[in-house]
Amino acid sequence: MTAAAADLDRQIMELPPGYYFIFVIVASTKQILRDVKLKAGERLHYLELLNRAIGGLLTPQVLAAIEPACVTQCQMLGELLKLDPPDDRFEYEPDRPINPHRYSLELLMRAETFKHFVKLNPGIRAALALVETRWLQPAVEA
Amino acid sequence: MRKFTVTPFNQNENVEQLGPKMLALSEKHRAFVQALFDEDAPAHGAGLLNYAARKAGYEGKAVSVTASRVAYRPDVQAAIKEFSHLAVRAISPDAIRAVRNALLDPSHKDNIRAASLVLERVLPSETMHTVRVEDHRPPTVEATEAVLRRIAELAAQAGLPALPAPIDAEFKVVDEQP
Repeated sequence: MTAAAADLDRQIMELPPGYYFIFVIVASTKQILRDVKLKAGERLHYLELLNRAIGGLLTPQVLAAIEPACVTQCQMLGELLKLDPPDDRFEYEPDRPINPHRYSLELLMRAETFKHFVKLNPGIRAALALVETRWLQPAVEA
Repeated sequence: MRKFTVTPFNQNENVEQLGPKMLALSEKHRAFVQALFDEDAPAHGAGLLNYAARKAGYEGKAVSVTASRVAYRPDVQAAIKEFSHLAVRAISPDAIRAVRNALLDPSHKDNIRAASLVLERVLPSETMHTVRVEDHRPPTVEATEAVLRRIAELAAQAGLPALPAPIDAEFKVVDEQP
């Protein structure tokens, strides 16, 4: 294993698994915005979703670094979502008894699954580097 | 044949029961209006206006002209409308009595009609409508300058500076009826 590959593995392992999902969804949303013909309202809807996702480790710089998903990434995400029941939805519903997208999320939040997306998306790799810098920031300041 | 009566309003002694439109008229005009509702008045088209004019005190050869002029004065028209309501209320006991007589007499030719009339008012037939309103218009945000500016701002923030133009276009609602 090269030093770069070891670094990447470490970056992935250090990132909270919830962000695996967020990074992949951000890439997928950007792909929709770039490739799908949308009306102004629909485009604004997706962009506002991205804007609302900003928080915690997902800074505006990290968001901007993630590149739109390629065809393979979209297919991978589509296959993951097939694990969920057909009526499963992404919208958060507080009263819903089960977690939406429970099965696809379980698989996506594994480091080895996320690693495939990272390999295909240089933007996610750059985002991981930015996150690492942010992680290290307090230590440097201290 | 028994006639309906409106006698309570035919005399000036019941002036306090009249409405403001009637009270606003001159004494002659008020008498004219009241005469139109007389028990013995002829039908409209058979000398009703002339009868009312003479009853109100108009005389002479030109009484029909005067009657017509008086009848179509706006204030007299308003008074006729107002007085009609009073007259209808006055004859309602007679109407009820007539229906009751027809109802209580099985041999009366209008017995069934009277029964239907009463039943329709006591137990009116009910019709229930279920109205479902469907609006198929998608929720849209118009591509205003502000929206486009916000899109550009958010797209730049998300690292998507060069997005294709939105597909919004001018439209007009067309009537689906042929």
